[in-house]
Amino acid sequence: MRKMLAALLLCALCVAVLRAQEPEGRPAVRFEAVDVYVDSGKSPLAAYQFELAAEVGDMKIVGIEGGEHAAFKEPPYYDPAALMKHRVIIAAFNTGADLPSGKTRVARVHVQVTGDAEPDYVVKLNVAASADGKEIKATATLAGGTGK
Amino acid sequence: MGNTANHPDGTGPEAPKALSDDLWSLYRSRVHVPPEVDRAVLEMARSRFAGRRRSVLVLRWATVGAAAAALLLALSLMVQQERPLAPRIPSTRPEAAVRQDVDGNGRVDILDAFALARHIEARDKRRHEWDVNGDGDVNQADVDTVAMAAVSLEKGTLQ
Repeated sequence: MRKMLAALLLCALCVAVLRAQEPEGRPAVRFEAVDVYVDSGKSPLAAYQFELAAEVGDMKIVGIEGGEHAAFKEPPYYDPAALMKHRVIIAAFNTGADLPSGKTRVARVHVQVTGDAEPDYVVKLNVAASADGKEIKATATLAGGTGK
Repeated sequence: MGNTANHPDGTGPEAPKALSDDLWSLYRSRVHVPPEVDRAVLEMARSRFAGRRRSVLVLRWATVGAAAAALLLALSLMVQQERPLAPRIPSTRPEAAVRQDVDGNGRVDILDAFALARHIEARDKRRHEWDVNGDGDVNQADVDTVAMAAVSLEKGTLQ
């Protein structure tokens, strides 16, 4: 009986110590979705390629999905080796006639964030092109990073 | 030494002569070794030592041989390193990267895959260099190969 009580007391102590070590507020590991937008202005966007990375914080890419417009709905091209890493190059194209213009979400990147530090995401648009394959001026921006 | 400790005069214990004679006669060797057995033992010892000498000689020559082989190997490696590597490594651009650079702008990106896809869709006259994956056909697999090269984290872009 005494041994059982001692074991129970030890378990309770362990739980208390583990709880005390957990930081209050945010969980140690959380998942976020980062949306990537490309704004091609008036030009229809037929192809894009960008690089996304987190320069600060412990972030790992866990999944990538396509964009909002039908032309880029399918999952884009990316190196599978980028999964569980903090850097990825994403690209897609569409040879059809129905293409988005203006600002459109082209991809959603799911990430796993560890620790309190907020990842500092950086996106760099490598190239964007119109339907005739010519390079066009465009910008890439990010949104999200909200807990999911 | 222990005996001298027991006998301070240093003479040690003396057995009586009768006992000493009896013991001597009891343990005196009476074994007679015939000369042929003696010779046989001697022969065996000689042959054994001769065999050992042979194995020592073999071991010595094996060591010398191994050292010579190692020296030859090192020399051949040195000679190979001094040879030009031109036949094995392309001089400037890797051939695969050149093929993936469909639009020929000096870098591999998604626009190369896009250009190839447009060529295929337009049923343009097939060019040998568009067969990027080398399977003898120009199709979606080649487009995918170029696109995957464009997004590879370890890609060697053409500069």
